[in-house]
Amino acid sequence: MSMKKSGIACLTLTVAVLIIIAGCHSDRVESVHSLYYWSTVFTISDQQKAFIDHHNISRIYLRYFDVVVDSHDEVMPNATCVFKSRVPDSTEVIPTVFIVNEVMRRQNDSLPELILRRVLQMSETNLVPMPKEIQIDCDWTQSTQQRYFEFLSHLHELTDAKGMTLSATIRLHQLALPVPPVDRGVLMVYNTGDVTRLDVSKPILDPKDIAPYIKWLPDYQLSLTEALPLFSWKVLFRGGKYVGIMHSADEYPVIEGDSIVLRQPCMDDIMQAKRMVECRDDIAREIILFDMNNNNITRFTDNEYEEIYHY
Amino acid sequence: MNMKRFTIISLLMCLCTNMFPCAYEVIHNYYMFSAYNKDFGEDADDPLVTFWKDYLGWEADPGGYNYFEPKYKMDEVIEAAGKKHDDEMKAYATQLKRYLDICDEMSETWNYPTREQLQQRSVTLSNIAVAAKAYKGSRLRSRYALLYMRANMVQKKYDVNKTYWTTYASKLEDSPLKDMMEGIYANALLNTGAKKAACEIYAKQGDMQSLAWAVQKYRNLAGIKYIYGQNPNSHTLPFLVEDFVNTYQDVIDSYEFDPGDEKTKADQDKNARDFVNFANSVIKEGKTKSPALWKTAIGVLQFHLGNPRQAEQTLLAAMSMDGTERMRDVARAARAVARSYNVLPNDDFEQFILGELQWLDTKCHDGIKTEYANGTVEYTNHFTRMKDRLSYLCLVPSYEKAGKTTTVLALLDNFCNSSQLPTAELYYSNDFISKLREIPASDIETYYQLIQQGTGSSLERYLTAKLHVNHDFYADMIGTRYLDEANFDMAEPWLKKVHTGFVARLGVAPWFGARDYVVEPWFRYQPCSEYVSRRYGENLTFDQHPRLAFCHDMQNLISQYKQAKGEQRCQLAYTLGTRAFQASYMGQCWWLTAYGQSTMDSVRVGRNDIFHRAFDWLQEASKTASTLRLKGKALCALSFMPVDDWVDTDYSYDSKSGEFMLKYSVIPSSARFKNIAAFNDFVNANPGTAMADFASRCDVIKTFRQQTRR
Repeated sequence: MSMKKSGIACLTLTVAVLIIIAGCHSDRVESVHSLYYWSTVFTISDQQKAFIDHHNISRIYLRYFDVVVDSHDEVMPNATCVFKSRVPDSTEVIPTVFIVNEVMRRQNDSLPELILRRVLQMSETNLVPMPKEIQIDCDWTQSTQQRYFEFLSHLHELTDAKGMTLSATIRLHQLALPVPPVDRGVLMVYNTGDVTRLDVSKPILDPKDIAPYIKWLPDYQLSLTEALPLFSWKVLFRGGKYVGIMHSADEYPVIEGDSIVLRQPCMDDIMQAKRMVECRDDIAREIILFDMNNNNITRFTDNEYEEIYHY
Repeated sequence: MNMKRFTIISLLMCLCTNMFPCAYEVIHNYYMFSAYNKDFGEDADDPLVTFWKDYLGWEADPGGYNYFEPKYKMDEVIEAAGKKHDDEMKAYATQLKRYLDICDEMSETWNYPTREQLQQRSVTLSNIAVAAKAYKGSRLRSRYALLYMRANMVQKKYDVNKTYWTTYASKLEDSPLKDMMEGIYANALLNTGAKKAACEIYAKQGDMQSLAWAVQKYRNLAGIKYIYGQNPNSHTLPFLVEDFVNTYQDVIDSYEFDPGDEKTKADQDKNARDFVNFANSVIKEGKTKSPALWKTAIGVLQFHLGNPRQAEQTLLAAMSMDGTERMRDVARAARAVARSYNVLPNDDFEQFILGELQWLDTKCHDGIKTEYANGTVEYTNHFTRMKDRLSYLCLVPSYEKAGKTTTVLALLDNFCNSSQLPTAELYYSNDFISKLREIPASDIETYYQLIQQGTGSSLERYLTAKLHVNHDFYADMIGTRYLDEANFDMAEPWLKKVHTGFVARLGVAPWFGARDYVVEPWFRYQPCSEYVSRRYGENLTFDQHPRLAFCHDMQNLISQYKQAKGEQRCQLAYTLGTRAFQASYMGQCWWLTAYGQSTMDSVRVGRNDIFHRAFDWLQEASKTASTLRLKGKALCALSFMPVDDWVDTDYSYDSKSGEFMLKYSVIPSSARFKNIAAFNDFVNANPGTAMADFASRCDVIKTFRQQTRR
């Protein structure tokens, strides 16, 4: 693309973003400050405790367990979170269950009961107050939509009977698909680009990748909350080809000529993305950051975190 | 004859096939590279299991089944210890049972424990650890030490285990239990960030499962380069090198099966060549203590890259390099394969391969041993698999190409040893038997003489020396194959030798007598499923081999036929043709000349077999018959015989009716088309005859008339 064409593209994007932002209106009020906790061990460090206190974190979306298809082709819980710390009294926990899409390719009518029973028992055992809500995270597609929605409907009936609400994560591409039968959705404003491409410098969050989806937002028939990214990835490339994301220094062999590229959303991009999705009244009433890893809660200044949370 | 009858026959043939081998695929392309021995018995490598079996006085049952799962058997151990007044063992087994029960509870299930259960679990594990550490005796010292480390491991007390190993457990006497403790120590290292050290222990212990998991992202050339850079003699390297070489073999094998994406294959080839370059630099650098490992890897990759000559030289060099004895052995076995690709069988090669097969046989005995009820012993390890690969993928094709049938049979027989199988199983999925069905009866006779008299080449003598020879098997096989060749005089003496007891145990025995071979199949179908089902449940006995009775019948008819003249000779030709067809693999009484039948069978073009002999007799009858009745019958019979396809059928969508329609496309050049046409012409020329009436009801003739308007 020539410089001229590139300039036109940028201008078009900027105009589009401005139009979107101009179309949004807001009565600035204090939003609910929330965090995702996405690990196999729940333990609150001093830094995390301080973050919770300082930024008035009132909700933690805590991943309780995954649901997978195991080696015996059975649908089973996996990577259950081990509680090493008590949940701070000041915060409400919303148990979150990640279901791999493959599970939805199998008929399992008892899955809603199994999940709800396990979530409630986990809460009771680990002294988590009776949850008011449960969240389901699943990267469902059109091919699994029917079974996933049936599952959610059944689970919704069960949570309703217990006086609980049910929420589900919504990926950007899912905005174009039918609305899942839940009380509310959490819009995941991240993982917008292709991490395997060396030339995609902002795979976690690039406002220009969000822009095409914004048109679906105003009419999306589900109450929404935004989830913004704090996390970063170290991505290993060899000979220009993607090798993997390095979760630890020795996860992959690093040899001469390899490139390790840090991918992390910058403050400007987070704020721009936030402004883009906040064209809906409801979406910023609660702001969830992903996730409560020590590195993620120390990347920015306190003021910057406040700016992200501000509505 | 009508279409429905054809369909019924086909269906019944399908039903009949349940006793015959379906298409079967036996793998011979075993991995050529193997850095570790991975062939252990069911639980022979688990000292915990053998210890408890000995304590309980367990012996393998007659079927060789002696699976022992400690977690389900601890109550038996506790009871046995009580009966023996062995309080020390009873106390230990009780603690172990508690630990095993908790491990069971800790697996991820839909039932999440209550707070009380979690607390109880934690208390129990702590108590087990305390009890284990408090043991002061000597008899169970290592067992209690292992139990202590296990209890800590499930509580994720990695630092405690690291300290315990370095200060105490590592100083205990060497034993499999100590190896297990070191494995738990490796687990603690892995979970506290010391992956490299953990992998060294896994590799050293041959714990491939743990190692594969720990280095899952190092299983590539970059990983090999990285680990080599850290330590040129890392115990992890043999695993990674083996993994690399065998993964490339998988690529090659699957590519041969399904070529797929050429670019992917080119990338993989380049990757393999990059490895070869790197491995050469490793050897040149001289830091490795096992150049044989790298050289063998190079040789095997060269072989898979399509250069067996270069591979042979490389592997020959690897055989004398430094490294483990196993590595040099692996190089030698791979070299035998490579050389067999490069040389056509001659005396020199035969001496070479004889030596290599003898050597491979000596290397088989440290594999997994399987003892069969009939006393046969079988071993399985890398070297038995290499012998299999060498024989099936190199030697059999090579000797087939050279026309040395007896050597091919000896190679296959050496593996299948069919004569030792129970009689009823003799004719199932077995490469040796399949080969016997393909070759002339005289070749089988030659081979039988060879194994009986111990003659043949030194290679053939070696391969057949230990074979058990079942004379009934060979007499029946040779006699039956001669029947199939319509050589009744040669068949008779062989079939006479077969004991009727052997006949009764044949897999096809229940079929004998199910149909009558004198019946003209073009006029009458003979159902037999009920008969066969009933016979399967009976204790069968035979006064005479049914194949011999058929043979005598044909000999008598041929004798009469040779002396007969005119219409009588013509009638005998028709009778012989009918019976020969019935006994052929296309006939209703196929069991007279075969051990099985498949719906996939088609006419064996160019074979001088009983089917073609039947055709000749029936053709003679059709040409020489002087009566309309016999001529009509003979022409009808010829039109019935599936010598080739006379029509192509296909279902195609008809847009007008919106339905799938059966479309015919006749093949006028086919022999069968001509036979049907001849029969049709005959009945058209002779209206009002019984044959014309039959033809008017025959679906094949109807179809023929519709398609040809004749």
